[in-house]
Amino acid sequence: MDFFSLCEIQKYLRKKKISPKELFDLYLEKIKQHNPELNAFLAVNETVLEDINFESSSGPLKGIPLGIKDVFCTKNLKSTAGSRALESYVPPYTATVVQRLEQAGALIIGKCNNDEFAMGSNGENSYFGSVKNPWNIKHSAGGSSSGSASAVAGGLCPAALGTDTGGSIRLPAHYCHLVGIKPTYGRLSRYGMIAYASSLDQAGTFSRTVEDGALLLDVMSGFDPMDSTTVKKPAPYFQKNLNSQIKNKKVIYFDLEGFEGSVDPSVQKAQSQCLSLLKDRDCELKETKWPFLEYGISVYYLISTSEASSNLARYDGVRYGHQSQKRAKDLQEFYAFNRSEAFGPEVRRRIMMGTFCLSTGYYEEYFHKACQLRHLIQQAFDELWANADVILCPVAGTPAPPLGVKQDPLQIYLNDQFTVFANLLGAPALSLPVSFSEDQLPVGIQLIGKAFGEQDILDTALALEEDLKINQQRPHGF
Amino acid sequence: MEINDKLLKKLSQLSALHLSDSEKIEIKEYLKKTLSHFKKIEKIDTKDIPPLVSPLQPPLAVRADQPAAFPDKNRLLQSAPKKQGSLVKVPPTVG
Repeated sequence: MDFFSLCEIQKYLRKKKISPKELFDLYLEKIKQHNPELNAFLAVNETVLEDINFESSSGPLKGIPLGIKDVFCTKNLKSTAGSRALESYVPPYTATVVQRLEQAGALIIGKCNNDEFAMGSNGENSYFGSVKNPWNIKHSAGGSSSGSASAVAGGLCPAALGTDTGGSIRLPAHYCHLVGIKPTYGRLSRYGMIAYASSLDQAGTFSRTVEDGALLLDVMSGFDPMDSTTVKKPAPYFQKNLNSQIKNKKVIYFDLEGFEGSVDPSVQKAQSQCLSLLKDRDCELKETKWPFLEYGISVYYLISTSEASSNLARYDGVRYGHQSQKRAKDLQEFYAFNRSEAFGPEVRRRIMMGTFCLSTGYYEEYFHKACQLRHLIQQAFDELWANADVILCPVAGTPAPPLGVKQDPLQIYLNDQFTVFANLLGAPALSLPVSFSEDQLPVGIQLIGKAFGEQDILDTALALEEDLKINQQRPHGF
Repeated sequence: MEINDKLLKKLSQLSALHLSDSEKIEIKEYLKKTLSHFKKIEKIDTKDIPPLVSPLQPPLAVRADQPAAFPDKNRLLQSAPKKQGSLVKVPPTVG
């Protein structure tokens, strides 16, 4: 049952074939057994059941345990963002999306490890250690939502919440054989989500099936008065409207020549396989050129590091967060002691980069110029959307890389070339498991939709999921 | 892109970060290499293009600008590394 989909578990609970306590204990046991190896959970909420009255709850997630990335604030439960800066931080309030999951009856079973402040692609930047991939523990689970992906892939919980600023849900989902969904910017509240880059950050889901992801989005979507960037839209009913009849759906894809770095044959094969299945479903396929392809990474990192340097300026170690024991000679040194001890190397690098981009003399040349290019990219994709419903492309050039290999930061950044565009556009995108490489590592495919076009990518993913007959595998030893 | 010691010092002051000697070398190299890659954006003509700072189209649903007290002041204070009574305590930094 530990590898059942969320919707299957829902049926078992409704028919009382298992009680919420039995289900919770089953996952708790799995966490105790495998978390020391995976390092997926930073904290386990063992007493959560004590506060719940199941008789009075009738929500769609009643009794279902979920993992929550540790960048979401959870009242009375430590929320570290994977950083020493917040090592002991217990928030006084809960993030809106987590609150909505709880109102729907979900049980927050624990907080999942992640790259510090969601900055990283390999799950190796957490202050609390690297996260392992259950499919091969010598390999990365991806990042930055590394713990959420590892936990679901290892059967430690049926689904989890992550965040995606430049691919931080889709990449771990690709590496861990999961469905990972980043909805449209503005669909889900960011209130209580510890900020990395505010114009790019978005909450999203990890699940075993497309339907599970749709259900979770239904529960969390909607306007939040505490977040002015959420939009007032009618309830989406993604799950109810799921439809794998996608005849005549307009799908565009790109020639994989010309991407920075090579694209592994297993990734190319996954794309060809999906295109072939979509052709069999009578979709209208069209190959085209990716607009501004070679500029995506530059625009993304210039903007995200700038926003990060501004967002992380709040960590001064005074009202909350890490405070140094060193005696400072003045206020500036006091802040610098606190911050230098609090932040890890990648966060420090990105703060320095962002500070450079926003500083006098460089602002116009870097940050402002990147925002202008972001506008051009949006215009170019608007033209693409005039004749397309869905974009199909890889999530990354390779399956999960081995852990512990020292890499140049720029090379790591280039790994995000397929994922950053959805964030720059604010568009919905998902990663769907497709196959395995020769080394038995998972390979996924990415579907990108137009803003608020989640249903298009969910329906297309559902059709592919049916044809690929995926989701039946589980990692060896789990 | 010239990243010299003077610029690095200015950036670390603005960032409120102390860098060790080895980190200074590493970050200087990082900025040099990464920025020279990112510099390719200068090739695109963006004259008269307004910057896009959010994927959302304005106007946003901004709520009324009314102050509201946090319901539990003591709960907020619990997060402070050091406190004295109902005050946040910080080390003496002047004199």
